[in-house]
Amino acid sequence: MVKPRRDLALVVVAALAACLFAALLPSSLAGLRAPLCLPLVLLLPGYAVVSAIFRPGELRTAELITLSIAVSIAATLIVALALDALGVKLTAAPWMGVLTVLTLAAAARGTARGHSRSLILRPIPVGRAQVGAIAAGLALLAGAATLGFTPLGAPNGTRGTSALWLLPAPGGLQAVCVGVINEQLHTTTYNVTVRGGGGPVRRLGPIVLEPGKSWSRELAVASSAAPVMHAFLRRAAEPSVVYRSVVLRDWNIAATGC
Amino acid sequence: MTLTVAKPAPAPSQPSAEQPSPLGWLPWTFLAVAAGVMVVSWADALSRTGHRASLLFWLAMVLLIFPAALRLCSARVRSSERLATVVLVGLGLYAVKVLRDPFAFTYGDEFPHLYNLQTILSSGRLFGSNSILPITPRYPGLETLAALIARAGGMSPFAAGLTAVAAGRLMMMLGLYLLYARLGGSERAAGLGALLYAATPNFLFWSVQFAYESLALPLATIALFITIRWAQERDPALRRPWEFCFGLVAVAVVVTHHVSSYVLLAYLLAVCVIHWRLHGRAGAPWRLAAGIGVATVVWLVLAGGGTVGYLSPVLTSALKQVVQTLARETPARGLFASQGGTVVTPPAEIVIALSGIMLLGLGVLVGVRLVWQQRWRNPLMVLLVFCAFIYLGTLPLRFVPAAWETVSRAGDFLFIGVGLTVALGLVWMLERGKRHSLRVRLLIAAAATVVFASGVIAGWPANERLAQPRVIAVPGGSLDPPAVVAAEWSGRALGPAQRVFAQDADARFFLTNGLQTSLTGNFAPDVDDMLDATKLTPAMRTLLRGYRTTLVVSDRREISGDNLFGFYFDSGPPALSKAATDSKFDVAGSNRLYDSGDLVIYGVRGLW
Repeated sequence: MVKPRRDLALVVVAALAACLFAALLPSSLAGLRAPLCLPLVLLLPGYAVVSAIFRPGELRTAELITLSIAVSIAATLIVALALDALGVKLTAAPWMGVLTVLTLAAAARGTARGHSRSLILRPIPVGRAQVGAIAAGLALLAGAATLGFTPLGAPNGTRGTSALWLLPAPGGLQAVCVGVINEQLHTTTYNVTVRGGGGPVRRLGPIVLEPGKSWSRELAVASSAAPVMHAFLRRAAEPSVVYRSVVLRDWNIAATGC
Repeated sequence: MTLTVAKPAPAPSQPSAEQPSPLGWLPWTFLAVAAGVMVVSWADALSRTGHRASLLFWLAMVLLIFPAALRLCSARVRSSERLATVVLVGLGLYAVKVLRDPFAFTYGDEFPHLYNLQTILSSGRLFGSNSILPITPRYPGLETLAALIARAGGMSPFAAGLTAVAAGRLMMMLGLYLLYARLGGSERAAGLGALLYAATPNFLFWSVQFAYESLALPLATIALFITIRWAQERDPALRRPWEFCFGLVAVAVVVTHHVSSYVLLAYLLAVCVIHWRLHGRAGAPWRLAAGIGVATVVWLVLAGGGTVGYLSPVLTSALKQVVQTLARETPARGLFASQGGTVVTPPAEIVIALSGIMLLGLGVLVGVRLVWQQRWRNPLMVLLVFCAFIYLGTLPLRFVPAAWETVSRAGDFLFIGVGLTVALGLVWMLERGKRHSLRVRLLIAAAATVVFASGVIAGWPANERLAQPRVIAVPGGSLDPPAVVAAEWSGRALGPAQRVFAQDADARFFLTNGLQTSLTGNFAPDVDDMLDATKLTPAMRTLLRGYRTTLVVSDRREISGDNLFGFYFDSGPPALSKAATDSKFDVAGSNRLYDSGDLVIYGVRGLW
């Protein structure tokens, strides 16, 4: 494989690679895909365009970087508006395809104008203490991210809850869907009672649910009309207390799934 | 052309003999910033679990600002180190906001923008509808960028949104530095100015929320920098690349945020007028002003038709209340108070805030004197100094309830002038105090930290700066607040596109987590009244029919109507509204579909 030695050659390679990886890598590999593909959104088109329109060496490095990001973002937006106006759906393929073509064309023009920066960087002398500071900083950032993005326990006094729901079953069936969502902070046992529709009272349970888990059931209704249906939720710890209640009086709404 | 600066920007200063590495102090600044981020993460963790951690928060702020300010005060620092320091601080402060909301967006304005992003991702089309902030889909810049980031990087909408705003913050710091360096002719002033801009009250939190201004303002700042560079070229052929770049960036601003595009246009027109007054008509950036003017008008006509109707009530209400407050017909707003008017700011913070404002005022005066003495006749420089004065002049308007928000948001634009003016004053003081260099630098770094803290205190209530319990860990997983669970249930069990009446915070969850058409206070003015009432009247049935409402979310928790605290778990016994506010819907014709205690969802089509 030929290793690019000039900036615009690297831009071309990176743009093609980004387009390819966006097409081939699944979304589940975001950690790999993002660093490979995002430069085509946030940097490469702008870098190529700026290189194409300015004289070589006209911009300071900071100016070049700033304009590259801003122009890349502007190009992304303008391409999106153009695609939308043409009726093209904004999926990855056309969007990134157009940005890649734009990048390649601009890079070609920049090369033709004599723009070229060497990719060979001079080594930067870094002391041991400086390396230590950078390493410690990175470790602190990693610690901050780990702590910050980890869910922690609830503050004292936080109350959990439980939800009971009741809906007509989907597909016009003479049935109802009843469900429970356990949002308590601990595993909880429930009993559900459903009555109405001329049929017997139905008792469902014990239903044992871990925090965040849910349960649902489809129940046939004996009556052919749309009867009034009631459902009650009781916790096993307090069986005599109705904890939640729902009622279906008017069957003008339907579940999309039980 | 006379738009150029009076003094040319000096070449990057050379490192001193005592600093052999071109990195200078950068590794140590990085370590301090990282330590600040770690400390704020710790403070957030304590706050999420119900502990107080405001001292840790302030320690983090000091770590983030003071070492960088001290370094930027130094004369012998390379340009690249100054720029890197400014960028590090900017991103470190952005991390403070990210760590405050690490699991989901929780600012009221972020939900409508997230919904727009979700719509672009699901439909592949721009310009969808939005029931909470209908104007936002007409300015799709931020969401479009985030959508491509999500598509390209395989990221969630939340992660893509964070990345898009991070790009905005990066551009803001780069743009400010380059603008100040060109205008002020001093890399030292550029670094200090960009750092001081962080003292804008909105900088820490509001300006990095997932909302359109977070991208548009950085782009507008870069457009100003481009204007200066354009002006420095005398050959029309050399100006063309800058005009091209300006055109691209200006279009990006116009399609991203209405107010930012109008402010950019106003800045350019003002520069043209000042230039005309000082140096004559020729050489002013008329073409650039005309370019963004045309783009703004075209967008307003083609896409942003509702903008005038959206902005005019806000501005007229603010103006009306200013007049009423001056005439003492309306009570003044309490400073350092929360939205409800309750004073929540500790006395020590009030002292710091007032000290910071005084220091800032002093800095502006010194900077203005300097500009005046040196007779800088750069029109943009004159404009920015004028903006610094206006900023100070707008501070009393924070007493006016309706004007407070407008003034606060205008501050983001006006502070561009404050940053440069104060930085020029600081550089002058540093140069005069050469004999006591370290002492002066320490004092100025401390003053900069106080000014920054003052901005933080003015910008966000004390009890809202640290993380709240948005997601909590339970055995085997984690839990979301009840309103999120209810909203997600509605989307899953009933499908999207239900039309929902709900309190402010709940409505936002039903919009983004349930993908429903949510109607709440501001845009359906009677919704709040209906939800708060204890009796169901015929007029309410008419309202339900008029809006074709299929679901009503009755949430008795008072925080469900709070756009600051309504997105988190309740701790302790919740403040509840009367039971009748809920039970009034429990009548013939309605379905009580979902009951989670304080929050009940009714199917109300039968009430039409």
